[in-house]
Amino acid sequence: MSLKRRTILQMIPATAALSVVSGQSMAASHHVVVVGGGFAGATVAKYLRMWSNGGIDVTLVDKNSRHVSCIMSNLVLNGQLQLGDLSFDYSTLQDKYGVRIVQGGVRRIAAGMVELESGDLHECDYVVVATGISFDDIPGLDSRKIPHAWIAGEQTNLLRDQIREDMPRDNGTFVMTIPRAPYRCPPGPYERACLLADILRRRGDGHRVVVLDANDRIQAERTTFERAFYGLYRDIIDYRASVSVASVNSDERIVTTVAGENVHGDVVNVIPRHGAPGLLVESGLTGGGRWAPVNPTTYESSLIPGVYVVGDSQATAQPKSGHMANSQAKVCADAIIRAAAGLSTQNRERLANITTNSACFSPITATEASWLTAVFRLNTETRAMELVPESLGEAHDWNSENYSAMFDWSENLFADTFR
Amino acid sequence: MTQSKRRLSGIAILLSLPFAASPALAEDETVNRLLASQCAQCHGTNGYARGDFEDIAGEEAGDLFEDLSDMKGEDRPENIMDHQALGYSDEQIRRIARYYASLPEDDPERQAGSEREGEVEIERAGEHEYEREYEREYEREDEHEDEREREEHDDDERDEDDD
Ligand SMILES: Cc1cc2nc3c(=O)[nH]c(=O)nc-3n(C[C@H](O)[C@H](O)[C@H](O)COP(=O)(O)OP(=O)(O)OC[C@H]3O[C@@H](n4cnc5c(N)ncnc54)[C@H](O)[C@@H]3O)c2cc1C
Repeated sequence: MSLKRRTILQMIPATAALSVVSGQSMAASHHVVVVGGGFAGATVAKYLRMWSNGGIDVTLVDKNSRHVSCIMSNLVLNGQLQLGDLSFDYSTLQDKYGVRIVQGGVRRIAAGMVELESGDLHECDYVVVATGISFDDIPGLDSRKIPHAWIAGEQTNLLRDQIREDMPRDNGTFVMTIPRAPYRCPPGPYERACLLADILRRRGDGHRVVVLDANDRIQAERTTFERAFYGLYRDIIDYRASVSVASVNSDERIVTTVAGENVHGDVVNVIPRHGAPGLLVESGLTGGGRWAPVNPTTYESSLIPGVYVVGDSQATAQPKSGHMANSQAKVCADAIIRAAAGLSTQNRERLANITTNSACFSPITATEASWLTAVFRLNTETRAMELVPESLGEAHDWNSENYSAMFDWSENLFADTFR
Repeated sequence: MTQSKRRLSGIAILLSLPFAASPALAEDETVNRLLASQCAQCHGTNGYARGDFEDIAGEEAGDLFEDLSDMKGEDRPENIMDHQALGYSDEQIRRIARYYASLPEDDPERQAGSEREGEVEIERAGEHEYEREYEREYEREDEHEDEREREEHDDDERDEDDD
C-alpha cells in the first residue's frame, strides 16, 4: 500500500472507512454536482475527491473554462499583475483529483438536478451551489462603460485601461462608489481607493479620488484606512460616508446621489449593491431574501434539502471573502462525505470543532500592505457562526514585509483551491 | 530556547495533555482533519506550504502545540498567527497539532520526484515586469518633476506624510 493511501485511511474513522474508502460502494450511488468553480466551488470539488479518496463522483460546472481570481486583482489596475497571473484552469482538479469538468452556464437548480443553458440535465445526489454574486441594477448604469471591476476579468482590464487613458496627467478626478454591506471583500474598496491614490500621485499633481460610501463608516481595517485616507493620502482621497447612488449617466460619467448631488469623474467606478445571483433566486434558494440561508454546520440550504450553498452566495454573517469561501467549502465537503457514508453531521464532537477563518492582505501603496484576519466558530446553542473576538486583528502598520507575505499567502490560497 | 530543551518541554506538554498518550481512545480523526484543514489556506493542502510560509506537516505535536500556545499568550498580538491562535481552544490546538504530527514530514508528492502540478507562482514574473514598468514611470516622473520645478518653485508636499 502506498504511503499516501495509508495516510488517508488513517484519517477516516473505522465506521466510515469501509464505505468511504473502498470507493466501489459509493461510486455508483453518490454523485455531487458543484455549480461554480471559484474559491468556494473549486475547493469543495477538490476536498470531496481528496477526502473520500475518490469514493464520491464529483462534476464541476462553470460557465468559463478558467476562473479569474478577484483576489489580488486590484494589482492589475496599477499594472503590477496581469489577468493571466490570476487565471486558473481546472486541469489539476481533473487530472490529479478526478473531478469531471463541464463548461456551461447553469440555468436551474433543484434537489438532485442541475439544468444547463444548453438543456443538458445532470442528475445527482447532492448539489453544491457556489456561484458568487450578482449586482443590483442602477438606473442609467451600463457596466460596459462604467466598470465595477468587482468580478474579475474583462471588467478589471476595462477599468485599468480607463485609468491609463482617460485620467489626465494633472487635476483628474476618479470617482468610486461602495455598496451597502454585506458586499464581497470588506476592505477591498478602501484598498482600491488607496491604490488609485498611489497611481495618481505618481502620475501628476492635483488628482482627487472621491469615495462615495453607502455605509456610515469604513467597513474594515478602520485604523489602517483612516490613517491612509487622512494621513498619507489626505490631499488626494475625499472620503464621504453615507452617500448612496441614485442613478448614473454612463456616457457623461456622472453619479447622481440619493441626496441629488451630481459627481463627475474622468473615470467612474460604480460597484453596485450585491446579492446572490438570479439563478439562486429563481431556484427558490433565497426565500425572498438577498442571500441563500444555510445551516453553517453543513452549508445545506435551509429551503431545499440536498442543495448546499457555499461562499459569497450564502447568508451567514461571515465575511464574504475568498479565504472564507475556501474555509466554508471544507466544512461542506466534510458534511457531504459524512452524509454519503450515513454518518451524522450533528454529533457533539464535530459541532464543537467547526471553525472557519478569513484573511485579507491590502496593498496600501505599490510596495506596502496591511492585513486583516479573524476566526469564526459555531455557537452550539444558536447554531450560528460567530466571531471569536480576540482573533480579530489588523496590521499595526502597512509595510513591505506584509507586502511580500501577501504573495506567499495568495500563492498558498490559490494552490489549496485550484491545485 | 535550544532545540533539545524545546523538544523536552514539548514532550512534557504532550504527556500532560488528556488522551495524548492513548490515541486508542475514540477521537474522530475526520473531525481533526476538518479542523486542521483550516490552516491550509496559508500552510498548504495537508500542511505542505509553498513560498516562504512554514510547512507544518510532520511537526512534533508537542512543538506545534507549544508554538501555538506561545502565540496565543502574546501580550500584544502582532502578527496574523498571534490572532489566529487566539481563535482556537487549547483542546482544538491539541487536535490540530496531533493531526499534522500524523502526516509525513515530506510531501509524498514531492518525494516521488514529481514536479508540483500547476504552478501558481504569480509574483515573481509579475513583480519584475512591474518593476521595469515602474522604473520607466519613475524616469518619466522625474522628467516631469524637473519641468515642474522649473515652472513653479513650490515644493512638492506629496510625500510628506509617507511613514
Ligand atoms: C478587488 C477584490 C479584492 C479581493 N481581495 C480579497 C482578499 O484579499 N482576500 C479574500 O479572501 N477575498 C478577497 N476578495 C473576495 C473574493 O474574491 C470573493 O469573496 C470570492 O471570490 C468568493 O468566492 P465564491 O466561490 O463564492 O465566488 P466566485 O469566486 O466569484 O466564483 C463564482 C464562480 O461561479 C461561476 N458561475 C456563476 N454563475 C454561474 C452559472 N449560472 N453557471 C455556471 N457557473 C457560474 C463563475 O464563473 C465563477 O467562476 C476580493 C474581491 C475583490 C473584488
